[in-house]
Amino acid sequence: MTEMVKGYNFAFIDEYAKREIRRKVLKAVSIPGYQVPFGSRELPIARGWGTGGLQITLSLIGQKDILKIIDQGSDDSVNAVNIKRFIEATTGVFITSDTLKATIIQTRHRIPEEELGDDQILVLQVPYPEPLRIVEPEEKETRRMHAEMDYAKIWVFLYENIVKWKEITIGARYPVMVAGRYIMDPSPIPRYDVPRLNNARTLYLFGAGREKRIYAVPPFTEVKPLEFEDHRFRIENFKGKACELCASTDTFLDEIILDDKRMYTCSDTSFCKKRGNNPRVLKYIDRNQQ
Amino acid sequence: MRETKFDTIFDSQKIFRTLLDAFAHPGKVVKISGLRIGPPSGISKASAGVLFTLLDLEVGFAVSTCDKKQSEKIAEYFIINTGSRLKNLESADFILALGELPELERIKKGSLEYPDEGATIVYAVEEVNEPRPFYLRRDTTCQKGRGLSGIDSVRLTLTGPGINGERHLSLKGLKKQEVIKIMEVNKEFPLGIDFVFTDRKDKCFALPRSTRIVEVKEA
Repeated sequence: MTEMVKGYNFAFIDEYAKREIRRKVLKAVSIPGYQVPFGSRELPIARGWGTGGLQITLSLIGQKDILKIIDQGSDDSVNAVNIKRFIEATTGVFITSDTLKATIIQTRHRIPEEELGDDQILVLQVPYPEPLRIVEPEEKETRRMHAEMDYAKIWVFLYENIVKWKEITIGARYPVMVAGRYIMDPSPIPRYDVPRLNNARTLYLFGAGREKRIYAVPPFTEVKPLEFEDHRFRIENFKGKACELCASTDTFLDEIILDDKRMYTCSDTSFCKKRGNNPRVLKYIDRNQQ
Repeated sequence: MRETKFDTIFDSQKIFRTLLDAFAHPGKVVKISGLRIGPPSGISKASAGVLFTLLDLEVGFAVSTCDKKQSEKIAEYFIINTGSRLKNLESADFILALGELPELERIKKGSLEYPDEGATIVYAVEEVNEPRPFYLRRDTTCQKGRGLSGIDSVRLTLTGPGINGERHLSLKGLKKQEVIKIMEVNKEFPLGIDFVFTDRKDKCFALPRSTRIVEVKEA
């Protein structure tokens, strides 16, 4: 464990900042999918590098929490390691890479493969919280559109996509409808992860530091990707491919381009290691048997 | 009056996580315990703890009770301990309600552009419970509308985000009429008011505006 740095408050940000973020998080949970504005604070990492998620995590965390941080599924990439070190140094909490042991998981662009429980919280880092930005540049106007549920423009955008390309060209950041009221940006998770927001057991909190927005999807909330009756939402297709490290065929794979070939590996490194040790590890726990 | 044993860092953090759990699972009964504070008579440690966690100088609060003297005393307690400002019902962000429901039509419900500006009410009732299995329940059919102690009590059935199917609750110290008023005020989602109910034994549950009360019965 790294030694705690002295001279800073527990979890770095001051208590006024935490209180504001906490008030906003409760409002976000009360209005699923609605983006609550908040006063994003200065942090020792630059805005746009996960400061929204980080501020939520710092406002949630207590001494008994066990924390996991991932970046695109990986526990060991630069963004994850830096945030991990920072939180460890200012709180002294335990860090884990085991998805099932963590009480709080902060993530960039992935939902872990293993199913999360109702006592866990997933905090997602969000670069662009506004799903309507692709069709409307003005904040005042998108706010009105959300207020009036005037979502015609984005539907037309999706329709034109299909006319032009025979496919909706949005990969990550696929827009979803939350609890039948707000269209929400699920952060740049792949389409593969989108269905896992729907009726999940876990609380999902989203933080956009640069854009100063917090929003949430409570557990057991309907989250539907936007789709047409004759053009259904589809996830990425990994047919015929398997992870070269653990041989999994039911996980989200990263494509690595080598000199003469393409290689596929699990994007969730912690789960990949578990599968490597025991190929029979499941993604979903049979809770009836516990 | 000035609390010196409330840990603004770690007590607040624990209370916030309990509250977040309650808001994420509306109707789930949680407990806020272990606080070393001595709030003025009439309010529980849990109610005080919730407001200590959420109030500061950036937000305004109001105390709603029919006893004016008691209300002044309680208001002073929170001003001293949180630095928050006392406001009238129309502009308060947080309202501590004792004994009876304040006039909901006077309270902020937010705007369609900014629904998050709707207020939060901390409502102190006698007792909140997740109902016991039916075979342990006493037959109360002969005392309709009044519990055994002569206090109003209701049974609620909730549904909505955060709830897997339905959730049942029983409350003492709340009238059916009041529940109907709450249903009325939160009809126009996303506008509305979010509630935290606290009881004398420091048990709480949250009723965010997204929750629908599908059934209310006098028990």
